[in-house]
Amino acid sequence: MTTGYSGPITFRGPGFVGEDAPALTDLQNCIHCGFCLPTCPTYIATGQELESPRGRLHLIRGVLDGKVEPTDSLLGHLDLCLQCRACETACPSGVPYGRIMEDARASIMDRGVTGRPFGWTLRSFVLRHIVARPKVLATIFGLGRIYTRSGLQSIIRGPLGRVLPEKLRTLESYAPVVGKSAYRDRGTLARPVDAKGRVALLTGCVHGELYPEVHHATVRVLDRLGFEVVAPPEQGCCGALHSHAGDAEAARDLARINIEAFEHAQVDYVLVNAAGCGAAMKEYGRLLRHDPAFAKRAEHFAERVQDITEFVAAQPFADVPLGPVSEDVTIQDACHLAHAQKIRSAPRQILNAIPGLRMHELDTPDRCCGAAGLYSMVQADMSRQVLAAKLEDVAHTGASIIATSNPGCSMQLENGFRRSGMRVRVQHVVELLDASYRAAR
Amino acid sequence: MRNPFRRSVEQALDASRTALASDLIAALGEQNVLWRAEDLIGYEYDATIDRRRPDAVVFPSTTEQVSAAIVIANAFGVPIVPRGSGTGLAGGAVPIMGGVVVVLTRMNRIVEIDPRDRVAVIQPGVINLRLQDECAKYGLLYAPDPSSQRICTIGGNIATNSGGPHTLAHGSTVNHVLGIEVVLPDGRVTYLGSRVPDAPGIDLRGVFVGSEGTLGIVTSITVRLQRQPEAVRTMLAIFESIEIASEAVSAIISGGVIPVALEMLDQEIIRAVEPRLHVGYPLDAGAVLLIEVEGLRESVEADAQYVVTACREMGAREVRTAESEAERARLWEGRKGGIGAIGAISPNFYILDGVVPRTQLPKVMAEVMRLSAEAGFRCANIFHAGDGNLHPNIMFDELVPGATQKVLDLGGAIMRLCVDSGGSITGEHGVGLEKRSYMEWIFSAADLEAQQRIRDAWGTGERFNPCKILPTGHGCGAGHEAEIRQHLATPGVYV
Amino acid sequence: MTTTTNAEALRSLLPGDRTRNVADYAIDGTAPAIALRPQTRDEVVRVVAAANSAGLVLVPLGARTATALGRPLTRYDVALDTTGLARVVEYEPNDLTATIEAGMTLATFQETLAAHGQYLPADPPPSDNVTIGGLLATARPGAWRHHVPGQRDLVLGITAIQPDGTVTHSGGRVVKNVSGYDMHRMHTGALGAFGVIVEATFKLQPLPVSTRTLAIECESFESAADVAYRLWDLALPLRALSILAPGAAEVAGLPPRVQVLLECMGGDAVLARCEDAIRREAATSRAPHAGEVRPGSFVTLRALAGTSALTVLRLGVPSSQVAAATQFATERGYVAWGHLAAGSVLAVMPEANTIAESVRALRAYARERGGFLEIESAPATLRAEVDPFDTPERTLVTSLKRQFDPSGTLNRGRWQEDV
Ligand SMILES: Cc1cc2nc3c(=O)[nH]c(=O)nc-3n(C[C@H](O)[C@H](O)[C@H](O)COP(=O)(O)OP(=O)(O)OC[C@H]3O[C@@H](n4cnc5c(N)ncnc54)[C@H](O)[C@@H]3O)c2cc1C
Ligand code: SF4
Ligand code: SF4
Repeated sequence: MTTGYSGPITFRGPGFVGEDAPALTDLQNCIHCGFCLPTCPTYIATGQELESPRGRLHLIRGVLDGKVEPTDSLLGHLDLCLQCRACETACPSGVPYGRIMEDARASIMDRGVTGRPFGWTLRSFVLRHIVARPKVLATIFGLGRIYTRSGLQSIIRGPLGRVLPEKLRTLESYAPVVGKSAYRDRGTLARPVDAKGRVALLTGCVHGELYPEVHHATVRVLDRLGFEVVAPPEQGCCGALHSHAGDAEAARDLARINIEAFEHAQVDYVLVNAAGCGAAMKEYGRLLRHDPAFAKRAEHFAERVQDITEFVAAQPFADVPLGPVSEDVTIQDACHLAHAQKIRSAPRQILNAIPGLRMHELDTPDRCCGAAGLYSMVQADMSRQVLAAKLEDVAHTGASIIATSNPGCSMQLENGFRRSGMRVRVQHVVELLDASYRAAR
Repeated sequence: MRNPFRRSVEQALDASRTALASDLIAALGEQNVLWRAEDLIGYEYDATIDRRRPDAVVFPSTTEQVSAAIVIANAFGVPIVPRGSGTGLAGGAVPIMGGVVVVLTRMNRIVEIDPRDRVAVIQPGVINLRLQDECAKYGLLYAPDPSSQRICTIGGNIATNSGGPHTLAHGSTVNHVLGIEVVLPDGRVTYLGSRVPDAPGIDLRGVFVGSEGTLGIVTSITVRLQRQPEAVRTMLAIFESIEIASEAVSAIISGGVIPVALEMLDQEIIRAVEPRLHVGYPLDAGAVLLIEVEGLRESVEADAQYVVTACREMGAREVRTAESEAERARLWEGRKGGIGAIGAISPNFYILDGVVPRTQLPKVMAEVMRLSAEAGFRCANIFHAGDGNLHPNIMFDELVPGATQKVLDLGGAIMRLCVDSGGSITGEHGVGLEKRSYMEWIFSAADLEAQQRIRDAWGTGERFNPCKILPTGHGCGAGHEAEIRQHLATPGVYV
Repeated sequence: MTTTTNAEALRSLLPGDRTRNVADYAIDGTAPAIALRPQTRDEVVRVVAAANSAGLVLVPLGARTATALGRPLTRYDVALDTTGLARVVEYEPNDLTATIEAGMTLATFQETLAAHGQYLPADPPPSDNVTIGGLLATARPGAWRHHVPGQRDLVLGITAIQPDGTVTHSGGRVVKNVSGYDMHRMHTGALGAFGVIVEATFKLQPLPVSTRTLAIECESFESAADVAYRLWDLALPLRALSILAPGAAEVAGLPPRVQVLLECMGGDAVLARCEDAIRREAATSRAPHAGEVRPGSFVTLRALAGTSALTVLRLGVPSSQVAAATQFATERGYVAWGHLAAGSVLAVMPEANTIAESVRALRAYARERGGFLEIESAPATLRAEVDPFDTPERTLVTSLKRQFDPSGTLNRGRWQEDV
């Protein structure tokens, strides 16, 4: 036995099928330099090539070249990817990692139920039938709200917790505290006199249910900046999670719905206060590139999408009187803001303008917190490892507030703080700005 | 239809591979061994074009585990290949004859930094940049700074005797390593050198550093640190052409001031880097020199003045000085990300690593450009000009039929040019697999035989990282070129 | 055939004028059967190959300043004087590299280089009269070590004649090179165990604009350590920073107290700044005196370290232990001084016979601190009794020797190799 394998590993059928198959030209750009490795949370946690961007790209290329079969174990490595796209920022060669991974997942999904892992099918079911359906979602969160308000949650987390089995307790600890009433406003949300422009707000799926305050703050800030704000009632889920999971079909359906809804609203910009959604909507053009009826419209739509921090920072927001917010604050760059949308300075510009606010940067503010959509549930172990590193980093700053820009991150961080007993609050950047505006009165 | 004979051979192979895996698992634990075929594919490469799947991959976390893995591999008679982060540019970590790849990334503890004695003790999987960052906290410096420093391991640096921009003044890795713990090819653990410099006796440490993982596996490293300089000045000299810039390199150094770093970036590189990284390189320059001087404030002032004058005299259009630490960092970021950036402007490229005497630079660079143009390829240059260490990067598209072969031929011609100019076939990336056939250009048969004796003395047989460095070796010698061609026949990635 | 007739046969291989008086080549009191001084590489090849096939033991010798180093030879037939090979092979000042033959003295080499404002920063004991071959084969560090790169760091390539007469090269002539195994590192410090070095290529340095030697007189070893440390931490352009016990200070022509002796290099402004810093730190430590001294102090100490008639020990200790180790050696009757950056302490026993016990005590002291002790010079009896090297890894040395010199032709016994 002196030779390693060099031939194909029992190759049974085409690895990637459909129009979503990753492009060779995208993959070709990877020169295997490894510069992405030290920024990858899963590589940091494992020290293992297969859980690294370079390794995953190599696996994808292997499948594409027909050198290796997409077995469950191979797909497991792709699945452990957070899709945080930190690797994309680090890559000197400009490899479009996010796109390649989404394509790879999509074309595995295209293999149909028998050609993909069962977990992937299950996940897409959840995404299609719960997340993408506002009514179902509202019902579930309604139940959650009852659970929290009834006091049952605090009993379980308190005295009863000690007698519950470990596994159940862990599972329960993922459930968010759904205390506030959901954000259900639609239509015109703000109409200042002499409005400078008209913008639309994406109200999203989970966001309005869990963090209604962020929407309220967003609307107040925009109002103060002199913008008319509308929320088209026909809008829906952005489809980001579906794209990430490789369910391109569902994502496309959602994209079409949103494009139509927002076109109808006739606005200058479509503003998003959830980084993950913004990133996905900015990529509608590519998502619908094969759809002749929508390709152009999608591109045009994508050009008008902006993250709320990006939009605000470009306005003379500091000309509006700012009041003091005397807090020690640190900032977590949402992956889909920093890496996917390349927005880093806008949120900092806003925070730094707030009087009294003391900024303490994290060691690695743009490293993923482990939330990554459904990841925290699907890959609970890895998610927890990644989160633990983040909590440690936060603890070192001594901050009492962590500013972020994505509901997924907020949930994950709140969870982490709660479970580790840290007294740190999570706030959206726009909430802090809103607080500052309000303090100026 | 499958050949029944072949099938039985494969089954036998699989049985023995399974036995190997289970022994490794017994010794190192399941979470530290990879054996599934589709997992092994993740360890068939480094940053080169060479590919070969190992039979197993292990992730030891102690010296004892490293030794155990070696003993098991020996018992099965399979090759052993050490691996760090796999950024090597010579195929050194590719298990070209299969066998067990020993990955050191989980041995990544900085054991000790002693600011008083100015030494650090680290495990081999520590990333170069992390060590630098930790040392900086004490105002100290670990001098070797390869451009890949943000990910390459110190173990890999030892094996390849890595250099970097600051090698010009501070020397390569070997000059900074005091002592190493090594697991020898038979599994025995030994210590070479000492915590204190210049240990008596034969310099086995010096022989080991740069041996490209063919003489054993480093498991602990003691390095020498130095105090950070009081002042640093970084300059960007802008030239109309790479030839003029090359003339300036020699002129600066022969004038009696040796900068700590003297790097060249040509127009192709500037145009690849600038739009992505916005570091401030002028897009219309023919080439720039990134020059750094350091020392006491007084001498830095004088040296910087000297450099500016020398550059001007040699025809620099402009010489800029970094005004802040941030600006300095940006200028360096462009240098460190430069090679990778080529990937963004070309589907594939082939990095060469040759050395010529500094005075030959202008002539050699002109010739490199001529040869590339003649072969019909664009060539991007980003290199350690002060040391005469060239890195021509030939850009091509593997999907164009015949292109790869032409690129390899061009690479050979450029290497030949370096040798004919009194230079060498590698300045820092190593010989590994890629350059074995060029060794005969710079060494006689007797020289190579003597090198083989070193290897034999270490008792590495032919199983310890086989086929690396020396052109011959059982079963690898003549096949090398054919091997490369075979890899090239399928689409692959080239560095 | 006897050894003598065999040796006589070698004589006929070279022109008559190559023969030297054997008495001048005695090592540890033993003269060889024949002493030859070849003039060309080819002549070296002939002699070495002939000695090898005749089963003779050959010892290459340069300036013969370091013959009391290493284990005593177990046999000694042929002295090969390398000083006849003393040409500059290639020197390109603009490349800052030079290739020279191994028999050239360091002094001659430095003269050649100085004409172009360059030098090889090496200050081996006893003086620049050593040959380049000897400089590499002994690789003894001096006071400059680890302030400026030394011979070990600057050697780019070596040409050596192997026992069977094969000429081998390693490395090259460019300043950066990682092609193949670095055989030149194997030869460096090997005391001629693996081949006769006939040629070497070095990377060079520009000569400092000027240098200045200063001394700080201290109350105690502790305060010397303290001030030396602070100065080291200032990252001044130093070329030497040493702590001298009173005995060593006296040899160096300084008042017999604990002294910190430094050499700074650079232009006027830099030297002024250094001197300033030195005076300031001296004042902080309440040192009784600090100021410029004659540059010869280092030269004298270097000569003392290279006196082969005396017992010279080199202790390697971590930098933080240099002062303490110097004191420790002093208390045991040695004239001692230490170089901070290199972590080397030299201990010279003024009386001819040093007792093995005291060497062992010093070795134990160094080892406890993670270091070592090497006997750099001592009577043969002592070197037979106490391992001069103190290297734990013997197996590899033995197998290297087996590979390169299977019949033990070169310097037999120096490494106590079990060939
Ligand atoms: C973009 C880019 C830029 C680069 N720039 C430079 C540069 O400026 N200077 C430079 O010198 N190199 C450079 N390199 C090459 C490479 O980064 C270095 O050779 C580096 O030292 C390799 O480290 P690694 O951890 O990735 O080792 P690997 O690639 O994993 O291994 C390299 C060699 O070391 C051996 N090895 C690894 N670990 C050990 C160990 N613990 N014990 C024994 N042997 C071991 C392997 O067997 C192999 O032969 C660059 C590479 C890239 C991709
Ligand atoms: S997206 Fe994030 S987790 Fe996935 S490979 Fe890139 S850095 Fe790693
Ligand atoms: S940094 Fe980019 S080119 Fe380098 S290995 Fe990662 S993805 Fe590939």
